[in-house]
Amino acid sequence: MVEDFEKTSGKSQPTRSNDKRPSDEDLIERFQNGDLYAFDLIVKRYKEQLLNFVYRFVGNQEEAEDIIQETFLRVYRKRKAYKRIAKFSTWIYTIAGNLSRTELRRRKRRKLFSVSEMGFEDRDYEISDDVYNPETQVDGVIQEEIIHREINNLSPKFREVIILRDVQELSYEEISKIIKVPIGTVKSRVNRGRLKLQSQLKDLMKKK
Amino acid sequence: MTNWEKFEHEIFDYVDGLLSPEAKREIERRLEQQPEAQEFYTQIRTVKNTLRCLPAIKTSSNFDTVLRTRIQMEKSWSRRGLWTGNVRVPAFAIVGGAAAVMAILLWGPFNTRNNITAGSLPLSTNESPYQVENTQQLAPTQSLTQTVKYPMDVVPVSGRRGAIDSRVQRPNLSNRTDSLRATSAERSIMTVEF
Repeated sequence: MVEDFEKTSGKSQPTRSNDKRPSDEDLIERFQNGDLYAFDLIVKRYKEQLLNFVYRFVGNQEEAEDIIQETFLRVYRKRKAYKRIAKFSTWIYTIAGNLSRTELRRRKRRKLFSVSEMGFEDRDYEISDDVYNPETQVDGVIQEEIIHREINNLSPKFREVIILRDVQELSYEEISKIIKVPIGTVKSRVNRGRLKLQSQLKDLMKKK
Repeated sequence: MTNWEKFEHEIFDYVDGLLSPEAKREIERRLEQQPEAQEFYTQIRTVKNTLRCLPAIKTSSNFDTVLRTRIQMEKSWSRRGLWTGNVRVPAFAIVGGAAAVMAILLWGPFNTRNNITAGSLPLSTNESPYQVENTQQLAPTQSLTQTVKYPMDVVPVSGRRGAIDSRVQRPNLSNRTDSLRATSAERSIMTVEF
């Protein structure tokens, strides 16, 4: 049977249960029964979108890839632990989120955080007056490096929910299950995160 | 919660598409009438659009290869490991852990017995083989003279006060019963100065 999977776009994909594309829950069940190809398909589906989540969360692509590798290893080791009560995406995002938070705590203890880690690889990030250049805003969208910096300036609890909601486009219910806080708290954190970003970027937006 | 804060929450729900049709119409009416509300909504929408349009990051080209290698290593460890209940522990981990424990047990008492320096002298405890008398709390610049009795070792008294003679004379095995019968007055006492 030829299975046709669309390319992952880095965003969360809704699990459709049509005849051609097996759902994530079907795949994990097959993997639990020994089908290693099902595990390969799970990796293919989730590696990009998890990488985007973790990269925006920890700010470094190399570390993000390590975390994603460890996430899939844990899925491999603990496959029997998954029960079909919850969505598979909730489970795998929970693992990735926990590992990311652990890395941030470890980094804080090591105090290895530096400005250069906030930028893109092989480029030291320079905080200059260019941030107020009106040309940095094009068609209502602020340049990526600026928004990436401002996302990293948020505290981890706001950063995580902003990324899950506005970057990964997960629902509030799913975010609530992933980070294990009530939906009201999730909405409150998302709103406060947006307000912080808006207050940091409003001068930039006004100059346009 | 002030009116403006309440309005902010409604704007966020409007941006997220979570309002009922009536609430949505009310917000749109207010946005038309109040320029500052319109400006706030525009900024929030810009932030949300920017986040939604962030370019996707791709994994490195060897991501799958590295993952497969790590899974293979997991499999080979689990084959060679030992079962400890529900947890399989690799054999090398058990051997290494046992070696580390043995090293600590052997090195610890050896280190304490032979490296008697200022500050490292064990305090008198029930378990300690050494007895320290007349301990005092002193400032760092003060010196303390303590008398240390070694119950089993016979340490010659040095001519110079405070010096520790590194040559420790141990009782001759053939004379062991004699030394054991020696009274405390006859036993050598070593004076240690800090």
